[in-house]
Amino acid sequence: MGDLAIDPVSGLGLGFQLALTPQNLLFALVGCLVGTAIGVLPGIGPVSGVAILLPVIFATKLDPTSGMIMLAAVYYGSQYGGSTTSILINTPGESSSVMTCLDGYAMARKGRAGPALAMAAIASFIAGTLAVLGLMLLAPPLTAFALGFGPEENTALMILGLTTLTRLAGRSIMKGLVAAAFGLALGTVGIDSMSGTPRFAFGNADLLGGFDFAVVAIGLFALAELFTNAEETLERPVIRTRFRELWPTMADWIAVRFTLIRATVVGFLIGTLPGAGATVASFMAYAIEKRASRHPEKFGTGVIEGVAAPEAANNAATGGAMVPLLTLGLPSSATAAILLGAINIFGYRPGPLLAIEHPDFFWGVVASMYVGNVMLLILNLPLVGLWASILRIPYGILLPFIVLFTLVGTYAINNNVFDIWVMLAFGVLGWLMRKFDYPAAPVVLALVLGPQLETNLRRALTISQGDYTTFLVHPIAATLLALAAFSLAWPLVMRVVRGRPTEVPVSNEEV
Amino acid sequence: MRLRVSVLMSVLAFTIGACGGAAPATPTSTVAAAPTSTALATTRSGFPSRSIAFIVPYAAGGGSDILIRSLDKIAQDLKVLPQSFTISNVAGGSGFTGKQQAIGKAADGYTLTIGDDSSVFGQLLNQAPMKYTDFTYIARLVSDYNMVVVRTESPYKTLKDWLDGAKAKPKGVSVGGTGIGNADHVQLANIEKRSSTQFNYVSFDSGGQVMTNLLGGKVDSAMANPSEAYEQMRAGKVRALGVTSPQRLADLKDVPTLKEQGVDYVVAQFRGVAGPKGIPADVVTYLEEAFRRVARSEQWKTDYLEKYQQADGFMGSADFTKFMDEFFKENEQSFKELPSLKQ
Repeated sequence: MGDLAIDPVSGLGLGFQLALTPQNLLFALVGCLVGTAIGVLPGIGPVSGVAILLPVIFATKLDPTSGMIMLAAVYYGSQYGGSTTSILINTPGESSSVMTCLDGYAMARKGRAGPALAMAAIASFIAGTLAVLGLMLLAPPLTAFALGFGPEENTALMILGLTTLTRLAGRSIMKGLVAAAFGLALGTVGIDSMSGTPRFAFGNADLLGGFDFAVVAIGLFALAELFTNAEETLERPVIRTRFRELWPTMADWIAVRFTLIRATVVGFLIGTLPGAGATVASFMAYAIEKRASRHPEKFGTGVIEGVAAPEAANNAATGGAMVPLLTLGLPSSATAAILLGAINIFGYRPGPLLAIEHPDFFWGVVASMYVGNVMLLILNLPLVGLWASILRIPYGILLPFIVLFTLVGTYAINNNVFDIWVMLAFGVLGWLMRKFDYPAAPVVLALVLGPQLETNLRRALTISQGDYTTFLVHPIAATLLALAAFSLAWPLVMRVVRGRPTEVPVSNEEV
Repeated sequence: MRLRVSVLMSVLAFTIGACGGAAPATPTSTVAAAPTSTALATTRSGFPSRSIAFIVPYAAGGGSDILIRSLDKIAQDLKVLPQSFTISNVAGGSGFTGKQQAIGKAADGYTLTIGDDSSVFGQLLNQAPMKYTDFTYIARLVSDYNMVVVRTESPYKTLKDWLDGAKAKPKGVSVGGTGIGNADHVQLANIEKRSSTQFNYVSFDSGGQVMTNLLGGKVDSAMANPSEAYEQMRAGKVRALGVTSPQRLADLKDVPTLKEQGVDYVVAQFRGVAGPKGIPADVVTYLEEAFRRVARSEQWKTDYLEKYQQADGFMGSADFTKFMDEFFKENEQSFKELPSLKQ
């Protein structure tokens, strides 16, 4: 499955010859710049970023390799910038940066925006580079792995994902579950993809597509934060970011040394799977990190691992998504689907023979991803000081700009004014939720995972004709379900073993 | 204020002048045998005087998006239209969100969207917030066929094997497709009826997902467009058992039609350009003629049809409108008769 015609060493030699030509370096740089900008702007994510460049590609007769180098750079570049607004103003730059808000913004409020931003860039760099290495060396076995994930396996993966809710619940498990149930309910709105029936759309064309995850997240996180702050006082003291402390400390590096590896592996593998993508990868990586941590109760209060994990995972996921795209011509995410369209526009036909018949294309793109990651690091690290100094702007001046950015960003997601109203409504709701201490993260997590769980479950049961044992006879699905059961049961078991039956695991994160 | 009035006046004067000079050249008079390189004259009412907003109700990079971007580019290259479209992708809600946005705009020809089979299926499934008659159909551009495909390792070598498999074990053979109420689902139901079989239809979110699950062995067979399956066939991963076209396709001479194999069923998916209901006749004629010139050009053949493996399906406005009515009636009947389509 997905064999490559050339061995990686000579392939990479060929690739670097192409990637290092002045023209392709320029395209990679343009892609990195656009990607960073797309990432920084709230709402507009890689999907719109790549889509914005499509007309350019249409209008010009671009060399396929150059064009793909540019678009791929936009894709992974956007994952670098996405963390910036998450950290600075609690506004996720795109859906895969929602988790970065939790600890990143908390770090910024403690005056540690610099280290958080730097760590996000470095984690992205390390994960992005390792992911290209994985793409290069492991593409054939990974392709087989991705094809092994059908509806049964995806169902199990989503259930495992939902068990991570208990890790994000905040002070009260009950309130966390209420928030999650609300998110699951939101996920049912729109045309049901299995039966084609509109649900809870009330004849409104704008509701047929359901609630966009990014729109809800911007409302619940960014706008709610603004309302809360505005209510307190506009004279809030400016957050002091000490310029001497822009860089992560030794203690930070020690804290993330395994985080980066774990998150990269998780992100990369999930990225290859059809449907899951960078957002699920960032959730999973955060949850795994919290589980593995010796101080899980500190997650959400501004720990550096909480920034490194999702940022490494979402970058690794873009590398993973390139695997089925380049080896089989099959898209695993919405952005990959646009890249697939782009390959068509370039005049190549995406498919299993693409990498074999056009080794220059495959290896040129792979090699450029190494180059692009270095470019992004060089681009992003000097920006850390600049971004961090934004927080020195008096809040009364900063606030209207943040509102403006969230409005524009929300509109840009689907070119739909209705989304702006949705975002504003969720902003008010998010503000109320904060007042009553309901966490926002479970809502968005459930909104992402719920619809995927539902369609995959129903799909699997359609294939098995209603036989639930299908989940047990598929080994990967069974393993994931066992992990999910274990993950839920473990804290209870530990409590029984330790003989402390009353205490509920409490974490005091601010979500 | 004064400045604005004077600008308005000069624009007005210019428009009147332009109309006077260009009026005799009625767009319908030329059926372009050879593509002309001159722009169509504007209509009497001065259409088009600004850029046309094209709302593509599907994601960027998809089939409809590539169709409209190609149409736009070639119309510009041939200088058929004075200005490029302003294209926006309003995806989601099976295309109805974007279509609804388009039909909410003035019916003046400055807002266009996609006209396709999904408008009919959406109405029949009570999915769409509008009726298929809420559009002005301007030109049909392409038609696309579907194929029954299996993995190379599959025991089904011919369409008959596949049908026999479903006869032997009703619902025992799974078929992946792009969703209940989509063309491939209706097509499978029609195949079932004509062959007295029952398949297990499994719906996925996109053609890419269908192919992924077919290659992974998660479904026994699938419905796929030639352009979706071609590269997988060339790589020896997938085999096509039959195609819904009237004759074998030029690119895929080895793939027999359904009809040849005893299933009397010929059907095509189609895509074209539509707008809000009630666009004035002269504007419709203007646009229809512009799109006809594009669709009859050599560049359309090489840079669109051949490049993206699409079949020409051009129809003018009157034919397209009639075709939609027939397509609706035919499918309304199918939805009444076919058990797997009844809700």
